[in-house]
Amino acid sequence: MSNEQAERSFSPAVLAHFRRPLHAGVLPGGGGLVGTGRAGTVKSGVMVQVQLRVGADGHIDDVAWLAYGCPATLAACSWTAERICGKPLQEVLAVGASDMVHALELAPVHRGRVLVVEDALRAALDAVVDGPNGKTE
Amino acid sequence: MSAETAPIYLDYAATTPLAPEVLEAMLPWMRHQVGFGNPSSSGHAYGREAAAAVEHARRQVAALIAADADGVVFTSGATEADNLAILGAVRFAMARGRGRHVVSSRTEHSAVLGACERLRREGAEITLLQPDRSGRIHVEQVGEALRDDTVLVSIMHANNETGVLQDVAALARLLRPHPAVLHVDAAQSAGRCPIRVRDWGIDLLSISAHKLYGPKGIGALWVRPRPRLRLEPLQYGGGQERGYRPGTLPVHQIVGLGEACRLALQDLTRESARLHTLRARLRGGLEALGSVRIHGDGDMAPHIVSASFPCVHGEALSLELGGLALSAGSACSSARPGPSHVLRAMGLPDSLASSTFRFSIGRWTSAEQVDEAVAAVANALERLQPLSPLAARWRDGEPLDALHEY
Ligand SMILES: Cc1ncc(COP(=O)(O)O)c(C=O)c1O
Repeated sequence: MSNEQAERSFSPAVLAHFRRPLHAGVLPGGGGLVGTGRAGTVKSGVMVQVQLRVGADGHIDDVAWLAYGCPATLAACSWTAERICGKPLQEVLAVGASDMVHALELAPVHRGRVLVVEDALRAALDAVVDGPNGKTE
Repeated sequence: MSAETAPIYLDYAATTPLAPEVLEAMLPWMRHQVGFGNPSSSGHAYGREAAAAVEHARRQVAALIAADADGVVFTSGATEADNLAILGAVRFAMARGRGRHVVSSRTEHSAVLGACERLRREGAEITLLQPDRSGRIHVEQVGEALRDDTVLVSIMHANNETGVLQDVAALARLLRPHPAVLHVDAAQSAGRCPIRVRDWGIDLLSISAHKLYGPKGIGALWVRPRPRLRLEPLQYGGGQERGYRPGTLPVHQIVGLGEACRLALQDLTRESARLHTLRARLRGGLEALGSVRIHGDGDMAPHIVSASFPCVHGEALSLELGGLALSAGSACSSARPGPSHVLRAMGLPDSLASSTFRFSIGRWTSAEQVDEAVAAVANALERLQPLSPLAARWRDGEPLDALHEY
């Protein structure tokens, strides 16, 4: 009952990512340019951290995320990480909340939440593109 | 919902299944040829038989709460009983210029708070006491809030979200020299905790059948008969229930409530001890998970554990805990979503209130089910915590309470 009802309010794509999230965690130290981006607050119900490692060829070598949020938020982090891993920076710059909404068939109530995922991704990209917070190890 | 996929029912504080004995007791009063009489029809056997059944049930209800049977007024449930008590007592007093001040608390059920809010708009003054962090109202707080024009004090016995018990016997003692009447919402405690209306000196007490294995849609307000406590009724009609609550009595429902009270009283000591043991097992099992906060301590009802899981989001945990039928703390006793007023009053941040779950156990809960529930929560946390930036901070030594200040 409760499960069936909860499951009906999320798309199969959200449930699949929620059940088997990809790239969750933190990046281990090591080579390459790592950028970390954070967005949201616990009080607002969504807090996201995204980390990117950019290789010498300008591709995203590795991605990791942590999130405090609802199933749709967690799914959006997982989907985004999978979507951008191994892709050139130029392509990743174009990825945003509307892609997450489309790919995960998010209900309107969840749209605001994935904007926080986009913000964290942007902040991580800023860190690797502009460099001030990015660090070369 | 098939039997194999049915979640473990841990929501006895929301409602209880009908006891088979109660159903059996009710059936004859719904049959075509007998048992359908109107208890007000004293001129024939059909009516007299129904009236006798109602009076029998009245005594069963009174026995459970150790009160005089002629004080029992049947209502549609505890919501109506609360409204009749609060609106009835205060409107009666206000109409006669006897005062207009009410003392209640921030952790009351919305039936009580809603009635108080209504009275405020009718010109009453309402003082809502703030509980301490464990959810308790201290007798001295009530003493300090009392005024010469206080006409009613309404404090619940067991809280429906946390199970925290208030010392209503001490409250009644405090009020003995004061003209204010004491109303107690005992919807959660009746049948689970001993209640002694006569000995304690309670004036008005609400109960609900569906919280004690009786049918939905029936409850009672006990109204002190001697000296007679007068109430302004909520509705007008044929004078049934001494005019407090007119309307043809639903005999089958009343018989069900009576039988439920009889069963509850018969098993009270044993069942309450069994539930206390199960509750301790549940509470201990959850506490052992580490990243959990249990709400309320001291004197507690035997059937409720309210727990917050600070590191993970309530909706994610809720989806993961689909095998358990629980109430989420964010949308507890009402259809209204949003943070619980009870947990807020106890000082919990809203984001933490949304990761709060009420586990409530009852007659058909087994130790195995409790263990399964704890294991389900352990699995859910084990899976979700590695995704959470808060869990990492908690493992690094940050206190649980601080995590929800970001
Ligand atoms: C403490 C308390 N008071 C009142 C009520 C309302 O009872 P009823 O459903 O019988 O109207 C409930 C249950 O929802 C309750 O837990």
